[in-house]
Amino acid sequence: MLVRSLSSLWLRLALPFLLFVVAGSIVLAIWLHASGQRESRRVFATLARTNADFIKSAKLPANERVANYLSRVLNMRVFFRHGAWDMVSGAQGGFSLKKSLETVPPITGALERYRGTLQALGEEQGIVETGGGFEAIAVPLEKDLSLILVHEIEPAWSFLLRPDTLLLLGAFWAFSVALAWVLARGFVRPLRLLAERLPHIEHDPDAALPGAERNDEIGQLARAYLTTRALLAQERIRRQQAERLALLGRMATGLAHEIHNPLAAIRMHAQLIESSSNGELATTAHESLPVMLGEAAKIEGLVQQWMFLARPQPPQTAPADLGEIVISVVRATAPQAAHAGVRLINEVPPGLRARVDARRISQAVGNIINNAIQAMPGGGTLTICGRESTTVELTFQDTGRGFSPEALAHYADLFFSTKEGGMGIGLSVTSEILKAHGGALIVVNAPSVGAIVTLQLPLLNERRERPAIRHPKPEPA
Amino acid sequence: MNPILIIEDEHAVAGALGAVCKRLGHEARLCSSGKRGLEELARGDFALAILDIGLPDMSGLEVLKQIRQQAPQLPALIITAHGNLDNAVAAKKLGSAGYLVKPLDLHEVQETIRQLASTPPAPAASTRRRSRPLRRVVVA
Repeated sequence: MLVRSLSSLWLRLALPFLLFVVAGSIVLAIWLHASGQRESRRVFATLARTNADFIKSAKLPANERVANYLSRVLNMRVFFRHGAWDMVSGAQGGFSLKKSLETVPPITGALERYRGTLQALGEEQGIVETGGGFEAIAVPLEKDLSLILVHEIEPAWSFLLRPDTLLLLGAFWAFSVALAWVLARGFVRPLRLLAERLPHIEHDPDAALPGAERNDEIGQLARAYLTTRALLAQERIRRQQAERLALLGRMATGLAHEIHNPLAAIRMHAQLIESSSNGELATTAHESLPVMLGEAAKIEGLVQQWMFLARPQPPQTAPADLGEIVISVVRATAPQAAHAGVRLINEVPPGLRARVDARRISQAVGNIINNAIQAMPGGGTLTICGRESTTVELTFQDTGRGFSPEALAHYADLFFSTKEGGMGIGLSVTSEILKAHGGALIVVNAPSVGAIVTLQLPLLNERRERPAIRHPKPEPA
Repeated sequence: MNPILIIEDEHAVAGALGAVCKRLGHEARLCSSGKRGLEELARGDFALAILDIGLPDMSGLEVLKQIRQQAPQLPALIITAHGNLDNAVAAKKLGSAGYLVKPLDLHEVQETIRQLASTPPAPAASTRRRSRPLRRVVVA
């Protein structure tokens, strides 16, 4: 979650933006401080010169009284320098600068240094920082007479509380917030909406994409996606058509293949009858006609199964005796089983009833028996049992090679077959038939040898919701 | 006359082929899988082997390959529901004497069996390349 939020566009923009605001505020504060200091010194120097001009024009005496008066008026220390730097003011004897400065406690300790500084000031009228939070200026009044003003420097942080500082910083922060809003509104939000919407419009070809109407890069991105989606939709349609044609081709090929064998048999047996001499006609007909009928029924069953695949219909159910259905299918498949050396043992008890579509269940039973016969090429036994518990069950246990792991996983998939030339529709159709009845097809390998296929159906009196008929989905080619 | 070995899993087709053989005076031994067919082959001396390609345990071509080892001179007729060139070429390479595609025409089958079953034994495997060509190749 943290990694996800760290990688969000918001955070990627917010961190640099925050740094920009902090750095901007610091730079602005430094600039304000410097300019405030410059302004303060300019005012200080102007004040000193104005007072010096005033003293000169009013011809005021440079004595302690005037100095004290100016100190009160200007709210700062005022001195007059007479000749030597250590003597200031005092027309009547004067007083020592040292002594005078000692009355300003913060600068007492640094007196010698200040004196040097003041001396360095000389007549240059410059402002010097005396240390200890004071600064001074000397303005010459006449030869060997200067006016010295000393005032306390405001603390460095005090400028922060000044209205102009607060106004400027406030304006900068307001500008930053406005910039953030503009970025969020115009850049991050549209991208976020786009990103949120993209996964949902794949299945809705008419869905609009937020931002597609914009003229900027976000709009170009949205329009490019819409164009790609349209192209992909066309491609999908083309692919589906190709898949449908391929499926149709496989179904046609499969049907032709499945029908070839019974058709060949019918044709040959018919020709056998046709070419029989009068003496052998009856015998040949007696042998061939049942085979022909059986093969015709096989073709009919194949067509029915293909129709079920092509256009599934709900089963037409009625109470039926499963034992009778099994007997009928076993009878029909007995010649094929005998030819394959497979012994069919029918142990389904009489009276095992269920509500089924007898024709469809016959197809399902036939598919399972044929599958079992093919699984025992060297011959074997197929035992069919039936029982009723929570469901009605028919169980087919063979002595064949069993299902491979792959076949166990995919036996219900259309067109899946492990038999060479097999079309893989038998168990798929069987599974769908049982689902349409509200039942199930269960395939497992027997612990020792062979496979056990169980056909489960609802009890006769149980009303179970039947699932909707589903068209079996073919495995991707 | 020597019997004819028919290896075909579809009982109805096998039955019809058996009836044709019977008409031609040959006994037919019907087998539903390649394994059973090869076991039957070991038990007798046959005039012809008729093989379906689509067998439940192995391909008819694979059976033919093993027949060539057990009985190199036995003529073989391949029948198949898959009429494709690959199978026909493979059958020819394995020394098949005939190749028929289902649905089968009785008269054509009868004539082919009659000719193949009455033909003197084919040369040994080492000279198989000089054996006679396929009597008939039908490719759908």
